[in-house]
Amino acid sequence: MALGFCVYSQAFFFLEEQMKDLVFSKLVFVLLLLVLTGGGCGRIMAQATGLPVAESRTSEDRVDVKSDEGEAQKESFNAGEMILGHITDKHSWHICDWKGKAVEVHLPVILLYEGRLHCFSSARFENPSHAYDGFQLRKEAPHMGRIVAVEAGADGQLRIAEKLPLDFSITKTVAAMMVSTLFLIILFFFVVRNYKRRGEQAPKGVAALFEPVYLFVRDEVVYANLGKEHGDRYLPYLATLFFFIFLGNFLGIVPFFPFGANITGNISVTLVLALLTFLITMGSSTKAYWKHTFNTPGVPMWMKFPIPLMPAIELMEIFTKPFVLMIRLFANMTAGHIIILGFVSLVLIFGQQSVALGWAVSPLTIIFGLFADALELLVSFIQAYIFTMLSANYFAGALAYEPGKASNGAH
Amino acid sequence: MELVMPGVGVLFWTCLIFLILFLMLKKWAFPVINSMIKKREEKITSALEEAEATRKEMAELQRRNDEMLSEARSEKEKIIGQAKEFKRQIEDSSRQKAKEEYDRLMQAARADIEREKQAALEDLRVSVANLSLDMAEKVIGSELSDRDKQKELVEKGLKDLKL
Repeated sequence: MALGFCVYSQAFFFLEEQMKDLVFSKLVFVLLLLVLTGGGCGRIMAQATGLPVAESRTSEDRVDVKSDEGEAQKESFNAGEMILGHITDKHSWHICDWKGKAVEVHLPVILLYEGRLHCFSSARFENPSHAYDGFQLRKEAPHMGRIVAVEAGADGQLRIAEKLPLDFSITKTVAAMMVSTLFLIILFFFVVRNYKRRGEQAPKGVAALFEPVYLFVRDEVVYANLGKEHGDRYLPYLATLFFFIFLGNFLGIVPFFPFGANITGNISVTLVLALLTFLITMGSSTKAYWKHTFNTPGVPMWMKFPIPLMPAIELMEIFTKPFVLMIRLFANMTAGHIIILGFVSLVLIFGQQSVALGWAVSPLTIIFGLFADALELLVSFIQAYIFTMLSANYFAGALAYEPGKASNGAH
Repeated sequence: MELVMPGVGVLFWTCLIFLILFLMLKKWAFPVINSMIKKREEKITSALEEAEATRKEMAELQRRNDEMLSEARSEKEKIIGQAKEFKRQIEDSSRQKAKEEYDRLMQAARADIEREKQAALEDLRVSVANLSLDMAEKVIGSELSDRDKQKELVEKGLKDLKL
């Protein structure tokens, strides 16, 4: 725990100003407390249900287990399956189990198939064949977890249609994203109200919590990379990006219901964000940028002609940059969720061996789980920071803007 | 594999949600926040500048005050010095005047005395002449024929006598 705090305080070491430090420590403490209490709850719940072997199936892995209807009743707990089930997207949002029954929110399914829009609740798939209205929610191998169209084959048997329906469902990730965005909007509502009310006075309450973070983004990320003039143009996007990612990351670790979904650990989400950064980079690219790309100064001629080695590499870099941006956030957040869930399933795995062993392991799980939570909190901030930082850096590159002689190629 | 396969639905919704959030914040939240922060920053800067200016002004005032004080002190010294000088001068001049007056009076007195003395001598001379003539007349017992001539002779003799 102390280590977690230590790492934390170091992360904010670069905020030189004392004032920032002060408010930040407050913020960090509150956030840490929130996550820790939340994490603790999750741990205890998992433990209680996880201990007896017979009841292990009532724990969070139930969703996965009960779906295998045809198979034997008592198959062992599969940590990998459970973890993967948690970090991948779903059409329903599992909250908890109550008296052996899963309590979950059935999210709306929206499908575009052969020019027609099909909307229905995912509760319709709650039947033995997981099929409804010519669609099937796949629970096994081909297209697992996805919705496919089923059609009658030539022999009258139902089979999966070649064409896959376009799935615009409000999945767990989308719903969680909506929640986190709503959260953000509410936060900003209070912040703006506070600013309007207090005018030029020092901020108070939510705004006091918000402002240091915002100023950090503005000064250390945006202005540091883009300078004041360009910075003001890109600030709205970059600040939105930062808060969106940070809150997505952060609420992803809060383990109870409207949170806890792996938002930024979803490749589609990070893809959109990276794509936006890429598009803005392209949109703000200048002549100097393209000249730098195709005729890099300071590179010997033989690397450019007759074989355009350097331009090819540079051209590739244009695309690898946002690609790496996408992968980094996705991988970091997913890995974090896997670690936390791994510690949780440790209890379940040992609990299967013997109840006593489960109890014995649980303190270790709690300690490691808390550590992982604290680490994830740190990571959630750092990843938001890195994503925003690199985006700002790419914009600066596209504008061929060099703030003084500061590093212009942080990768 | 599903983990790393982007789904069209999530892509679409993420785009939508993010853009809505972005536009909302851009149109509504950031302008307010930025302007307020900027205003506050400007206010703080101007307040600091003002404080600095006031501090400088105070120092200037203090300096001028000190200057004035020292000036006044030196002025005072000067005035006192002048007064002392003046006093000395007055004393000197009055002493001088008194001496002069005294000298003048003494001179006048001396002149008076001299004059009185001359007058007395003149009287004495006349008396002596008359007396001697009378005496001579009596001694000789004879009347001199030309008295006036004799008198003149005596006068002359007396003048030559030069007392």
